[in-house]
Amino acid sequence: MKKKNPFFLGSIILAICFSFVIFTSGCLGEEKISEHDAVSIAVNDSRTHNLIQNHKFNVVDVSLASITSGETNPRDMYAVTIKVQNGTPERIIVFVSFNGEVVRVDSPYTAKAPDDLIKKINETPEHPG
Amino acid sequence: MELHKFGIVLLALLLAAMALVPIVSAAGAAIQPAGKGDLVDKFNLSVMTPPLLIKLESQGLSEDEIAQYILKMEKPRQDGWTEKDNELAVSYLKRYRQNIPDVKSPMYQDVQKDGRMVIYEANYNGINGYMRPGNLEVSSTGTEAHYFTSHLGYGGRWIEVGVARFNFNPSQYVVYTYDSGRPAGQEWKTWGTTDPNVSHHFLLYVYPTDDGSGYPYAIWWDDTAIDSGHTPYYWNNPDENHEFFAANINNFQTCSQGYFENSFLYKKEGNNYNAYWWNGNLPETTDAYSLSPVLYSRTIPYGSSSYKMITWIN
Repeated sequence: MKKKNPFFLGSIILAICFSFVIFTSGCLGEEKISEHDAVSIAVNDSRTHNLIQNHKFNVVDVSLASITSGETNPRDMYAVTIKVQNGTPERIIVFVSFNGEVVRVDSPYTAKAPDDLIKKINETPEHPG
Repeated sequence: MELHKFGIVLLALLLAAMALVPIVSAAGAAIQPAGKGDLVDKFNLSVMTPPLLIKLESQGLSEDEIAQYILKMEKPRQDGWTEKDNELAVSYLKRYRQNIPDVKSPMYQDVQKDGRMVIYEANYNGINGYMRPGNLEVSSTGTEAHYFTSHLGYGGRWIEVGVARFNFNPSQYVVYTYDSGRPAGQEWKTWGTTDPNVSHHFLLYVYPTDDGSGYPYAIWWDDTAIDSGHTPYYWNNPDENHEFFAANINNFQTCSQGYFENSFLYKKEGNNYNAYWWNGNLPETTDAYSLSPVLYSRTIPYGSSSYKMITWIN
């Protein structure tokens, strides 16, 4: 009769546990990018470029923001505010998640970005990096 | 035997942890499928329609005839609100929205923060709701100005109505309107002042026929027509916004709660002039957000059919 290895089952389960922790670490603990990174991601996103076009612009603010889209739960992220000089949109807010995804590009009514452009831009998500 | 027990315990822990993963990563989950919207019933539609409009409709006037009637009717300012008062308030209103800094290198200096609810799709021709701005606290070293306002627009053109308070004259809560299509410097009009701690009825409405100058619109405040004009677009997108302006980015001060509530949106479908409560059953996604230190809460209170958008600073 073949003798069972008493450590075999425990070792297999421990290996599964370690693998599980490694593979799910992205879900359980999101690594937070810096404000500087958020600004860089915001100004390099093609959707932001579409709004800025070739006008001069300044990044004038980066702050924390909370955003709810539809019936989802509120999400905390960075909001990078850009002011464009002599452009159609005067003010652009780029929402960047803590893991570096551009979630939304907005240009509130105090700016003059055409709303169809805003909608079109946000319908073509781009994941940086 | 003991090892087998240990293995079973580990297996149980593993299964429990796997079950938790979908809960932990649920933030930002898929948006629920949208419906067609909740029609506003006749009773509420009647209650939230200005008496003058009900009177004109009962006389058999068409939408186009009502539009022309409102365009031509006098829209006097509030009693006691003079041209001088208007000019001074407009000078405050202009001060923030035209101030684009001329800086040569990136620096963080913006002094505007928002708490906003918005639909990006331009599928509506009107918004009807209530706003209670709250105290809109101002000071010379903190938040210098507030705009508590609703917009309706498309393609870079918009109209709006709201209440503004400035530290330059903190005793006044100014009711103002804006049309981005008016000549430069004439976009703003002020109607008078108001009590910010009661609920005010506002209505922005665009009429369906281009009369040669554009689509007529009317702006109502507490059931009084206070502004009208033309806009090039019939289909527009709405928002409700609280805009904060401070002298310094670090100096936004505590602000008590203000809110929008019981809003609905107008949409012409075929020959029907329908109205839908602004809630999650609309076909479009509604976004809400705030920039720190502004906070917001968006809920549908018991007994209501639409979002209540509350904004404040702790």
